[in-house]
Amino acid sequence: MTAELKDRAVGMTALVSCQGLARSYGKGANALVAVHSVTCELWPGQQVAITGPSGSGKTTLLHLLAGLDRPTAGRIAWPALDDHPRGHVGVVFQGPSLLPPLNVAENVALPLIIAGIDEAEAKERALTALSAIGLAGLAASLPEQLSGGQAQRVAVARVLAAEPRLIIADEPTAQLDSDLARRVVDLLIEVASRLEAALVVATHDPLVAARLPATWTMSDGALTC
Amino acid sequence: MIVQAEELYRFYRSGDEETRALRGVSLDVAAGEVVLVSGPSGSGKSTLLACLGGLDDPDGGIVRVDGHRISHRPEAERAALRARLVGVLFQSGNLIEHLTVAANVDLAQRLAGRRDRRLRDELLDGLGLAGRARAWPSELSGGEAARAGLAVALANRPALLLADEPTGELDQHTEGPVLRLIRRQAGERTAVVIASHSPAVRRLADRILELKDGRAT
Amino acid sequence: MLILIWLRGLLVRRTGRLAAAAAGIALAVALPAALGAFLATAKATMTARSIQRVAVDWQVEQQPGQSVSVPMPGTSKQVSFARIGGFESRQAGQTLTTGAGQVLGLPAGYAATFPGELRLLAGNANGPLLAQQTAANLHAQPGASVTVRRPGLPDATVTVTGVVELLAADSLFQRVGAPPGAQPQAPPDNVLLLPESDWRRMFDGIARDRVRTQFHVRIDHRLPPDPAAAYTAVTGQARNLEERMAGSGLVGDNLGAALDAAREDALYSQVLFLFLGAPAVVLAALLAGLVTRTGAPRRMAEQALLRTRGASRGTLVRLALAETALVGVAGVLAGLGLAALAGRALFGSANVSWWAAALGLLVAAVTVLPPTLHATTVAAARRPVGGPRRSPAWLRYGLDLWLLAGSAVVFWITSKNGYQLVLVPEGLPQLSVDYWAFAGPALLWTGAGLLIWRLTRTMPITWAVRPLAGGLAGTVSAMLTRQRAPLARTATLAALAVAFAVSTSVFDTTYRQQAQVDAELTNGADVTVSQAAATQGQLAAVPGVARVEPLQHRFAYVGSDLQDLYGIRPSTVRLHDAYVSGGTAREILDRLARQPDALLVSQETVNDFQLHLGDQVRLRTENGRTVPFHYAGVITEFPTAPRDSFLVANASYLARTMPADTMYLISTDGAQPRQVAAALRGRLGPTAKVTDVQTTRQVVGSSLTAVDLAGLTTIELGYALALAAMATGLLLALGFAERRRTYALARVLGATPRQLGSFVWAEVALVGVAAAVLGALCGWALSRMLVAVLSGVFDPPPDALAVPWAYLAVLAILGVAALLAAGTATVRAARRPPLTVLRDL
Repeated sequence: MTAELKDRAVGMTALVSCQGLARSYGKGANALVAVHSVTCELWPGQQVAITGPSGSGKTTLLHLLAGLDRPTAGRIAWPALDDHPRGHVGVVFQGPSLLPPLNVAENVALPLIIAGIDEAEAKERALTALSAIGLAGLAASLPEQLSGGQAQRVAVARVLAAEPRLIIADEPTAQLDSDLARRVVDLLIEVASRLEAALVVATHDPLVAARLPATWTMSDGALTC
Repeated sequence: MIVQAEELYRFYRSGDEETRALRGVSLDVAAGEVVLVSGPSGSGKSTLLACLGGLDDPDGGIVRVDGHRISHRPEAERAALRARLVGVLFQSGNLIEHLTVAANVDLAQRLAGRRDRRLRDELLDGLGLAGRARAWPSELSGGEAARAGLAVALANRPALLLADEPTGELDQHTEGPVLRLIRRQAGERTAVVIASHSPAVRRLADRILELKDGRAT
Repeated sequence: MLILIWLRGLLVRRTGRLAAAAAGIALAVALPAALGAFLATAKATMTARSIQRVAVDWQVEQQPGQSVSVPMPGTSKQVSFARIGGFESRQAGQTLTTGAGQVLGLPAGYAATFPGELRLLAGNANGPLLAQQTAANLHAQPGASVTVRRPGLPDATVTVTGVVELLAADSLFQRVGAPPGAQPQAPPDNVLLLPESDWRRMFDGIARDRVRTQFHVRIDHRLPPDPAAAYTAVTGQARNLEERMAGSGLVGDNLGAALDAAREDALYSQVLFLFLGAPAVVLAALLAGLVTRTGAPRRMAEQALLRTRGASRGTLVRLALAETALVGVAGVLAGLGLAALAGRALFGSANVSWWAAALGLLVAAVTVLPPTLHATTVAAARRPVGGPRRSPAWLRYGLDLWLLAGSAVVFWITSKNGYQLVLVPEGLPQLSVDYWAFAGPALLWTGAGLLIWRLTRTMPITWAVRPLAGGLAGTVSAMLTRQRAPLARTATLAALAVAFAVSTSVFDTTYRQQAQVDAELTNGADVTVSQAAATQGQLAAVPGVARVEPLQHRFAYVGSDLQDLYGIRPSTVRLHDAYVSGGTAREILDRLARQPDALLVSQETVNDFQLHLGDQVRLRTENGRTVPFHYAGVITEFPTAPRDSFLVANASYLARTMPADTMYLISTDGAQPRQVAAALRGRLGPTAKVTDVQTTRQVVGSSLTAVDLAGLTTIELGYALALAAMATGLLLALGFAERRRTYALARVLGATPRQLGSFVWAEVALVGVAAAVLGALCGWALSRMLVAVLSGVFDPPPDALAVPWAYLAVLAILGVAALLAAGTATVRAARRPPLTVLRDL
């Protein structure tokens, strides 16, 4: 943790705090340990890249951090979120993550509506977020009409509109060429900064990792901060 | 020369708009040679590969693979040539989901009209998949899936191997071995054309064809 | 082999989907196969009954001046006929004579060989026998002497040993080889039967032109069960015999004639029930098609990959054919198995219907193959699947409305002409079918199906979803609107399945109701008692009797026309509105109650005698007494009355003016009429005539309606239930399965199971409501038209449709259960950790 961050962290509550976190699939001798003994904390405003070879457990860890998956051992808490990560975490996935039957604006508005915000207001905030990213022209398009890069930027807009406290991106640039990849990452950083949210990006692209202030590495399920 | 492509043109029309995907691209690839086709999205990489493999028919120009003209032919004849001469590797979706890895390779061999258990086992061995022959595609990790896809693409001992972003979903630790396998498995007699924006592929390639707006630069 | 590799994978990894498609095909096979089994049983019954009904299969008549030297097939007896001048007998000093008659010479064992020909009424059958009518004319009893006037020979006398009834007199005395129009009007009144030796002694010397010789033949009854095949076989054998006799004899083919009638009936029942069942077969085929279609995106992706690998179109077709064959064969076997089980359970026979199996394979091919043939290029195959944005041609040109209009026109024309589907020509046991009338319901089916599709395609989703989805209404309706096409297909099929269930059950219940009414009309009531010396009170005391309605009956002349005259108590008798014309039954009966000498007459009588309301009608008894009545109304049907002409008056007036026999119409208290009848018989002794409706119902009607339809309707109704449940539940569930990814993504975005529930339940509710409302409406319209078009099978025509509420309740419960099951399973599946779901996809 940098000195600057430590200063900022004074008087703040951690967003996520993990102790001896582990997640394994299956049971007995065949069990596959994806993540083990991970201890870390994430603070508001913190921006981290997680790198590591495929199969090292990056995705599993991200899912645990987002509260999408439950650990098989250890402890994870979201002190700043009253231990209710749902609704406060924005996730950008590796693959296509837009709901095929909804158009771009509806996709972006969906997390807000799910969180109980009135549909009209949600729609308006979605359009604002799309405009902010320069995608207002695609608002009425369907996911199947988008290119890979456009879809990924819409996914970022969806995160932006929901104004989460924690943004988690799993290989957000895997299917993009380097030019587009850089633009998507910069967008994520910009959004996170604007929202003062924590940002975690798992990537195998060193160029992407280099754009973030800190890099954690994973290897065989263990995390080095 | 395995691949001889001369002055390829390809247009797509949607409504009033016309996209010119290829505007006079020529390319020759010799046996054993690895050529990288590079360029930003929409520069015509995928279209070029499709035309080389007879998956698409160019509007202008001619493509020969291993001495056989594969362009400007009925689809049925192109299919027969594809089955015999071309192997294709995509970024994903190379495997039939309801067949095991071994059965996927078997299927590709049968489509080419051959049946070569030894070649199959060699391929799977060589790609480090000997233990995963009976696995279902959904059980494979990303790297395993990419290698299995390569095994399928090489199952017919193709003269031309086309790979469209073969390592797009792989991280750098997995990417390197897969690329080396492509190089090694292709061997002396196969020409390889890869469309990619990965730096690792750039390092591996013997030659690079830069495309921009459907033109070689 | 390529195909084996492919199929093995499919079997292991796509079991559920294959099973669902096979189930659809099984359904498409099971109904026609079960119908086939029913028809086969029904036809066999018809053939057996025809054979049973015929007393003598063939009457082979030797031609004048010729001699038949060919051996007869089967069992045969030679019968001789002699035309004589008349009979004479002396009884108590009085001489009674008759007109011309016939004397038959019967060989020994004739009665045993042809038991249907003679019934001994009195005496013994070892000597000369008199026919019943002749015995009555001569006042002769066993032991009496009868003189036979032999033209050209002296009179001869025989001593009669018995009196017989000639059960099949019409065919016995037929003119062999003459066309139907040239047959004698009635069998001879005066007939004497002699043992063969006596006959020879008596008629050896008579003129040859007065004598005929016939061979009565009973052929081998191991005939094909199908009446048409049996008919062909029998007539073929008959012609073969004629050919071998080379003109020396002609065959009177009684059995062939009976089978000919049965053949027509069989054809009619086949057409009728296939017609009623056809929509269900089409629906099952559509269901199988939709099940297959839900796998289309995966199939397209696979085909694209295969083409990339160099698979030719032929290879793709072969793979698709193999999959088709797998699904088809599994479906056909399951369907045939189901049909066999149903057949065994319901009418004790199970046969394999090859054409149903072929139909199943055809359905499989039609649903699986076309998408394969469409994907001609790699590019086409790799294109994402998206329905055409343009609405289909039928919708734009309003084909549904044209079809409905066509149906209305056909219906109007057919019903305007009083055109009936089934014509029952007077006096002939045959039915003739007007196939043209089927066009009305067929057009209605297709038109209504397309109209329902149009309605579900354009259903106001946003409006409908608002109350269901709460805060998510906009999102849910956006989602459903984009899935409008598959949603409309599911809703349409579900609605049509409901329509089939409703129309079939209503038609069926109405049919049964009318069969019951027909039997009641014929028998008069649950149990009818006549020629009894009991009082009303005594009858009412018999266990099982709920109500006793006395009825006067006698004959009376209107002009020169002898008609049945009934005396009723207007205050207690019960009549259906359909039995009277010019008012309700109550109004007509009230007129009778107000006016003691009121008379109800048939329409035919009104026409024949130019009657106007209030006219005086004078009825004459057989012994010439006349009684005045006043014409007060028209009655078309009356219990026990013949259809065309009869009269109804007040019992009290009748008792005063022209006393009549009393009979009693008895309603049971729910006890089986047959048992009550037995109890009454026991109470009243052998002189009373007691009939019950159950027995009557088996006797009346054409041979078609006499066939028990219970098994058939059970099949159709059970099938309708299965179809409705599958159409609603299975299609929804498969649709949901396709959207697992959408739901999992929504979960990842934070949607609670409750919120996901509103996505799912909104869809379930839309499909459920559309199916129930549109299906019920369509079913109602179809029932009305079917009953109207098929009114010929109803005798009398029904007052109103009979609605089987219990069955419809079961249908509703099953439909709702299927909907709930599909919805619950989806919501439950959505509770799984979304990442597991996404990983599996």
